Amino acid sequence: MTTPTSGALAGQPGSEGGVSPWNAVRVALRSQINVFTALLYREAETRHGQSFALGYAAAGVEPLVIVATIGVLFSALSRTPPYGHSLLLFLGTGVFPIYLFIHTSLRIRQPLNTLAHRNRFPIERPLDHLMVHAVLHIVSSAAVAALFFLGLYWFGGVEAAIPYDPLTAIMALFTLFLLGLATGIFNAVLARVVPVWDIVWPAIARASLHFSGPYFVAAYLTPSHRFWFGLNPVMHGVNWFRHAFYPFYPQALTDHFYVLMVALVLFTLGLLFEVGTRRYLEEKE
Amino acid sequence: MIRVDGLSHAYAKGRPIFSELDLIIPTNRRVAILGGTGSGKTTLLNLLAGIESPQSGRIERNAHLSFPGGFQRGFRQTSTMRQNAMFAARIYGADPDEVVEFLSEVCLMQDELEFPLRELSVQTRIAFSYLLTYTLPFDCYLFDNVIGPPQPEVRELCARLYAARSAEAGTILATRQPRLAEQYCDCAIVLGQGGARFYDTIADALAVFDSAPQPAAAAAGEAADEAATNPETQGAALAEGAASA
Repeated sequence: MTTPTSGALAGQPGSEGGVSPWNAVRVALRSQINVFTALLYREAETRHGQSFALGYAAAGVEPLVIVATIGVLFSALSRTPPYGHSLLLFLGTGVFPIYLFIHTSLRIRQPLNTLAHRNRFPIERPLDHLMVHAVLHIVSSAAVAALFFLGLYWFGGVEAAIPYDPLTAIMALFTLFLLGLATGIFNAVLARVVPVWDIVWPAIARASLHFSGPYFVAAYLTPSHRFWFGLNPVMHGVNWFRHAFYPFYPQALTDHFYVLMVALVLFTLGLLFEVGTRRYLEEKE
Repeated sequence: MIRVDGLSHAYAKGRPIFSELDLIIPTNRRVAILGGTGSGKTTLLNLLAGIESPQSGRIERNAHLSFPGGFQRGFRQTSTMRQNAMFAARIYGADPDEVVEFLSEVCLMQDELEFPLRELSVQTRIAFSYLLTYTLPFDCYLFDNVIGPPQPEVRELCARLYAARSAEAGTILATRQPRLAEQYCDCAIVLGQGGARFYDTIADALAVFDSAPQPAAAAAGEAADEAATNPETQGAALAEGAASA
């Protein structure tokens, strides 16, 4: 009986008996790449039980709906845009980065949750899943944001929708993505020990939209309010992002260092707890 | 070869299963892990497979080890058998097309391939999980007490696949049945009292395993063992222990 052998890691020189360090590294790397690509294929194939495009489109619709509703509301109240000429652009530059944070922090819980941990082959490690979800999420979010801002430019005729400083835009979004990633890891690990957190966090995350300044300019707040809003790292990220579109956007509450530090601290704590709670999960089974 | 170094393991509620275990397990032979109920053979197998992580100590795997035969937790019930097989093939570095072809032509699963797993019968899923284990190429295959599902025709196929695979690769079979060890293995590790010893032939291992205080004298001890791993009966066992003392 001939059994499949090709392309396998089994039976490779170095996989048996005496192992040179270089071979061990090679085999480990190859196995890591195998796991990563296999997961990428599978996760990209289906999303929310739907086909690829439909599942991702569904996730992208949410920020669009928020921008549209607030836009309609503000127009009905015949309010002028809080800053700049285009109301939709101002709302978009707030809502998209905030949703990048919210959706990242929600999505990253998936690969780390208790049930997912159980339903895996032993070769799949939590961090493999984390990386795959992060990569897919950043690609899909970038696509939705690009569609919105390009759409505003082409069909809305808003020239400012193309950032005059694209590097700042990318840096701000990437920082918010990191913050979302760190928050997601931290929350997922917290939910392993306190399961109800999985229900509480989405509510907090969605409510945080209103505290992160999508429809007001932070600099125009009174100093005492500004202090409290300034504690929210997402607010700083949003202002950072707006600097890419509005050359003279006020500098208040744009502390790059603060956002990065919060992200870094949460990231470190999250990963430490992740490793620390693995055995706890195994024993719960 | 697998090198186990200073391995200690215990579940939160219960006595330690291993303490400071050192062991070298060949991965190119057919190895039995012999042990009574509660001696930790399944735990050891899970630790080797990487399903559980040791409390302390390390396990150095110098071979490409399989998951325990018939492992189903990696499957997605909403995906078809083909999708699951291809995923497993990719993740373990095999050629997905070759794996699917083998499953449909040699394992005769072609009628079930396109169905989501949740629409298939439990027996079919179990059969699939064992056949997939043999289909994927590994250096060493791990099994917990059985080498195939109970249905006679699939079991017969699994026995043939076991023979084919173990001709080239190693196997590790955890069992407490001497008959199985004799039938499918050439050498053995005997577990007992938190320690383990390797024997070069099955006969030597069975001599020690059979003469170990197993059936009669250890009955009370065995009950205590069971109780230690199962907190609900702990009280009862303690009472029993007190009575026998």
